[in-house]
Amino acid sequence: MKLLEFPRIGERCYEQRLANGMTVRVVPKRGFARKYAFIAVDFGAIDTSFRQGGVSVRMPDGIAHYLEHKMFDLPEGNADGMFAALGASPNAFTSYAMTAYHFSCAEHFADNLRLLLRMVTTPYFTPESVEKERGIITQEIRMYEDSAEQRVAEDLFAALFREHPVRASIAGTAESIGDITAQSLYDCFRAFYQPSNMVLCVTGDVDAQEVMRIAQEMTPKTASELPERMYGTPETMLPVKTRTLRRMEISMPTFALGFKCEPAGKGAESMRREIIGDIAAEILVGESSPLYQRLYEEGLIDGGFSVGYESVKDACLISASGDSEDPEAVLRAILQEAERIADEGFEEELFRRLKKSALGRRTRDLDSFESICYRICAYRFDGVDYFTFPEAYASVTQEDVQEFLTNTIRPERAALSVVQPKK
Amino acid sequence: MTKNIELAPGVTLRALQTDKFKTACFSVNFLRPHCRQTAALDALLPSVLLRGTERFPDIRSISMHLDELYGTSFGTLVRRKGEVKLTGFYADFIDDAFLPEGEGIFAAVTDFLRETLYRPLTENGCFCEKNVEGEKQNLINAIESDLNDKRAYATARMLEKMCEGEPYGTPRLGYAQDVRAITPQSLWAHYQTVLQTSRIEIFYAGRYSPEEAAAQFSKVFSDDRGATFAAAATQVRRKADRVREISESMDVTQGKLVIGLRTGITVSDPDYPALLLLNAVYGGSVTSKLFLNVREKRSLCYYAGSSLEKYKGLMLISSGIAFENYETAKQAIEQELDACRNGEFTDEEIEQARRFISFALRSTMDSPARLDEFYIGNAISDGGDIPALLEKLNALTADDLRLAAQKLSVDTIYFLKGENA
Repeated sequence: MKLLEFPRIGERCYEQRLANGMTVRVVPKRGFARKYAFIAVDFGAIDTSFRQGGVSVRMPDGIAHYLEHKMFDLPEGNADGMFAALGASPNAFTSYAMTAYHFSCAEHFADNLRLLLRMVTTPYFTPESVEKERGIITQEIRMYEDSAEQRVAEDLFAALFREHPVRASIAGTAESIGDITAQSLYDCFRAFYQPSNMVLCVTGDVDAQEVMRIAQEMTPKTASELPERMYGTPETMLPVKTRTLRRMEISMPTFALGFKCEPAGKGAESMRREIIGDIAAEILVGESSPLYQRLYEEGLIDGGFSVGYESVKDACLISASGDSEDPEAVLRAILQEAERIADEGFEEELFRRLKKSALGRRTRDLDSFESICYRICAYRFDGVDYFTFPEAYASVTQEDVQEFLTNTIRPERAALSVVQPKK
Repeated sequence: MTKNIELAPGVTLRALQTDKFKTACFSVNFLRPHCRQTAALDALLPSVLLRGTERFPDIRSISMHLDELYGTSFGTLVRRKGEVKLTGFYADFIDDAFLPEGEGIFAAVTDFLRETLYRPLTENGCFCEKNVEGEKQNLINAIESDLNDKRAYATARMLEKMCEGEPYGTPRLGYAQDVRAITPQSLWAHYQTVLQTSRIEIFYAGRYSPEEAAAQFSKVFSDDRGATFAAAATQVRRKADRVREISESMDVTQGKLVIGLRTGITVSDPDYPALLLLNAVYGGSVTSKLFLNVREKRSLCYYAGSSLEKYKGLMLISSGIAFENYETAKQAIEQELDACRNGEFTDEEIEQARRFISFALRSTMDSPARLDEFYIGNAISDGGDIPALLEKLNALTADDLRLAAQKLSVDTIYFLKGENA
């Protein structure tokens, strides 16, 4: 077990890589009642096509999410009740890139941690239990289908990417999940729920030695080889469609627009790219940019508008979303502003201030146990230590941002997804 | 725990000194009676104040100033607790302890608060028309966009129907038509009233001592305020006089069933801890009767849960179901309620719920925003501090829960269904 110190952000943590390949990190927080454990599996909604032992496999869309629901079933009963009996509130989520299980508690931390680890290493599916879940998940999918915010984002991904599996929605569709069986769940479990494909992160007033001991004791001694994932042929920078339109029962039009960008490198490079992307987005149309002020004052956007850099494995984009009576005008204005910045550049002062602001916010964000654990795991899967973010900020230059912005914010890379109210 | 300091007549600071967080925060709340006449004005005021000040005349200069303060968040607050409206601002910012030697921003953030409250950008002695019109439109959009989240929409509609004729029946942000009628002059007049006649509650959490914080906040508020303050209290209806069933149609794929009950118990009543625990057993947790029996055992819905409005004395039961399951789901929900009234609780159910609530209360102390919510709530109606609540919770028996359940009465059943359902 190593002790790692990060004086710039006032954090220290313990880390160990177990013999089976699982990474365990403990970030002690003294004086908190809450203890939080988060285990992430590098297996998300996009991992539906893979090759294992020379065989290509195609799983139904939504299987990672279905599996997440069923992992709570143990031979001795449902884990929800067992966590509750130990005073913990458990939860789980599936994103495009990962599945994560977590709980927080004040008491019985060691027993809860054992239960969490037992849960993610113990598949127990029966045809009956898998069938019963279908009704619940179908209702969940229906709920997402009624959400304009969700729809507009999914439509954007489907418009931008030709083959990359972010095209499909995370939970799948009522049709796609119809093909999921106990067998396909076991297959995915065996392929991806390997200790070497997981990161456990714990934070709160806990004993790091004990966490390491429990992790060792509760996980398999060895791991087998991981499958090779397939995300389709590499994307060009051109979207499949430049416009999508859907009508729903909402009060005002909502939109998401995006600009495709090249896949980011691995490791430290991926974090640097994210910082460059975020600062570029802020300079273009963040809250302290001249364009934001103009659009806001013209009533083309409101306080709900947001812009930023997103990446899911090799699918990367700058996206902006919000409500607007005229989404086309917002896109036009953004393109014009990018052209202006390409010609005139931006003030060094603005760049310095935005970096200062972002660093302050990220440092404050370390108060959130959820955020710390999620980011440590997500960045670890990309091969970089999240706590090195101050160094990454320091390494980003004004030229990096200018170049990225000029290359990315271009008309031919753009798509606009809109949901309009029904007449 | 917090130390309360009266900064001026009607201005109270509740300060919590803590070194647990990297974030320091404060909220400033002007307390108003929540009612139809002023709901829209109360909701609009902070947004217009945050559009520009004498020193920072537009949103860009405000944003740049906040960037310079290490990404300080400074946002508007429009809360409703029972029939008390709280309008004001919430700020969170990096604690001075994490800044380079010799730097500090707490004083600058409170200074910005003073600027925002007392030095708004004006034209002809009034708010700028352009800013007022812009924020009116944003507020109207926010009110109308309730429609976008069907679960929240169904809940809001149910409350509107259930509390028709009571101040609580007016939505938190008021009505779009009332927003349209606001002029820069009417908002300016309301602003003067709010400054002069509101009780002001401030919460601060961070590394400074209550006295140090008080010294900063004292510089913010002017002392020429009146000595009488607008009364803000909640009328509580203890029992429903009849059950109403309402349904509406919309193009949705999932039905939303929301049931409103009168609990007869509010946060300052002696049997409130029993109600809190009962709610956890009935529908407020993953080991609750609704979750286990209606969702898990019978697969009737994606979600089913209950929550309390502790100031007005309401319980809301909310569930997402297939349209054709309306009767079945309603019966299942009522059946579980009857079980509570008959005292059908296992020891395990109660212990799990007790641990759930106890954990929720204790972890309140781990989050600045939740601390703010809790202590400002206590300023409205005092439910006691966390340790005292925990103690009462531990002494509760199944019989206490049965008695609390018998006070519940169903008032309104609302169903949002599909167009052809």
